[in-house]
Amino acid sequence: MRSIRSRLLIGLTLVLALLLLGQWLWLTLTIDRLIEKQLITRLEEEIESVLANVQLDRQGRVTVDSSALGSGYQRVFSGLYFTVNSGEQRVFSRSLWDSEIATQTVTTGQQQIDYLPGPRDQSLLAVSAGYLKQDRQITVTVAENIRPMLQEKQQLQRVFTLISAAGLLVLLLFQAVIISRALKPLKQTKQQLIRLSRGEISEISEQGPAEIQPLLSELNRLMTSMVAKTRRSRQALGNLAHRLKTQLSLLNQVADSDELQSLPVVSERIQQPTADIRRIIDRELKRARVAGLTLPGKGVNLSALVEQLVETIKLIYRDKPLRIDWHISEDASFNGDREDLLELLGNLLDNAAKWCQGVIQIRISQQQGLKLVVTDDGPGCDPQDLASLSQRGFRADESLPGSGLGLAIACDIVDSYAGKLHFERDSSMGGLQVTVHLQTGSLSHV
Amino acid sequence: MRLLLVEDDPALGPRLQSALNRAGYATDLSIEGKDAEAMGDIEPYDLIVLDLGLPGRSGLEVLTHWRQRDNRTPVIILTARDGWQDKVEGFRAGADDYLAKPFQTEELLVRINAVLRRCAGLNPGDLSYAGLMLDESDQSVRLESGAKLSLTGTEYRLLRFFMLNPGKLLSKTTLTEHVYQLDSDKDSNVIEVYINRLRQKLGQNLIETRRGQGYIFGQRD
Repeated sequence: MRSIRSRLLIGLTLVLALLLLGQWLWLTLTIDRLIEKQLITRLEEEIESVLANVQLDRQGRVTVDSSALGSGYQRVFSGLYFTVNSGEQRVFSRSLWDSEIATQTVTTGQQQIDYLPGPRDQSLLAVSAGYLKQDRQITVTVAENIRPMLQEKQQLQRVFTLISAAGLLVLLLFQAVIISRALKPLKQTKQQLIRLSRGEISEISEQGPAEIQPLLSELNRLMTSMVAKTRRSRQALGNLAHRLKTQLSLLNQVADSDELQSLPVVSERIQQPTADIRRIIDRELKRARVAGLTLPGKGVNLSALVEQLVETIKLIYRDKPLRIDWHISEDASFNGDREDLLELLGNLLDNAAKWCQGVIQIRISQQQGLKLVVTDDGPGCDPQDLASLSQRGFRADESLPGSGLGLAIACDIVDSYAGKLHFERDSSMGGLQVTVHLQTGSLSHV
Repeated sequence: MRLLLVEDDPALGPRLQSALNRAGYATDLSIEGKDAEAMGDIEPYDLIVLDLGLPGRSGLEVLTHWRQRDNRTPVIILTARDGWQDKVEGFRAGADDYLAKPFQTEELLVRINAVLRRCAGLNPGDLSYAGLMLDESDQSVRLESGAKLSLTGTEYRLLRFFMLNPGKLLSKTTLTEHVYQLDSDKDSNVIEVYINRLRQKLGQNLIETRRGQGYIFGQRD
């Protein structure tokens, strides 16, 4: 979908351009018509005065008394000419000198307007009128050179076109400024959304134009309720797990009790289901607790998280000499849920610690999202088992205790971040290498 | 060994207490956070098993307070919330180990043993000293000669406490406090009787008497 900005720009530009073009056309045509009309009126007056000076002698010969007419008719090629036709006879103004105007006979009472070529490249506007004088049909034509006027008109048109174009440009500029000013709140909102997804702010400022203000309020309300809901449901799930598991512990106690010492089969029958139920609770509740990519994002302090986790892992496996090297690149950042990342990394590290000889490597870097690599120097995993590692409760080796849930839960978390989880055998250390790609803060790519 | 069990579940708590008692730990039960915190500070427990979901005051808070007051008694956290968030918080608060519910009694006993040994600066595994090897599964002791002697509950508890604290001068009061639980009849003279029984079974030289001070097990440091 095109942005509001480009829609407004294109629409307004089209309207403005059409408007100015129309104005230009209308003005040009109107000027043409006005000039022509005025000229014709003047020429009609000239015809009247020429006619007043036309005389017919007894033989019916036409003469014009030029002295009474304007000096324009006297000056050669002055641009003002007349002809008087009467039958075969034609009388010209002196200004025409040796050239001619192709005139036609016009019937009495009629008027004719022609654009004719004149002497010396002149363009003439000629008005002819037919009269009946002393029973003789005469046609009087007065012509004027309109070339200078045409040139002036063209000049005017050029100037007007230039002014119109400049006006259009200025208007477009103004329009662009107005649009960007009007859309500024939207731009600010977009910036805020980006910062929100990075976890730099926890809510959007609700100050904006009336059109989007309700949207912002609603977004804030949704976010607040989502955060509260996540917290509430996590708490509720935690409580549920606590109560269920306490009851399961009790069942285990009953199975271990003196009364059942003599009935090991019964004990076994109680303990097996409790172990199964525990696995089901763990898997489903942990899956339900995953928050995934939500707003507002929270910037997670990666080095503090890894440091605490490494400390914890070392305490859990304190009977095993463990060296955990970790490196976090400076640009690495995670905008998702801290608990999710802790759970993910915790499960991967726990698995590595369980199998390693004594060395674990953690590398965290930024590669179109967050990239986590956990490598151990343990026995690794058979190639045919690599694909099944993340399956529910799959255990590649039954010899060490564990529910086999850790990697499956890690997979769930990676899924909720639209990420990728990849297992392979590490060539240098010989153990298992787990690579995780997490998409975080997808809004920042807008 | 004196143990404090903090568990609020009315059915699980007492059952676990009696299971721990059977395993040779003089165990007191507390069902409330604030009480538990006070008991942990007052009584000289050797180990505390602490449930995190407690009424009154959360287990994590109780543990944090103990550590703030420099109470170093080893603590095993017992919880149903076994997310990594909780594990990290638990260990950061100063826990020594962590056991997720539901567990089997056997599992808890193994953890308790391991933590006690670690805190006594001993290697994990079977508890042995000066040719003696304590068998925790049937509360007996194996002598250097290979002969196996069974012990009574109090004898076993006393010997284990000695073996976890070899070469240390232990007063009668200390021994009483660590061998009997809170509500039992504490007559420190009874300790003499048990020490004599141990001497009869294990030999006269193993436990040295310091008149007016107490006893030393094995070689003095």
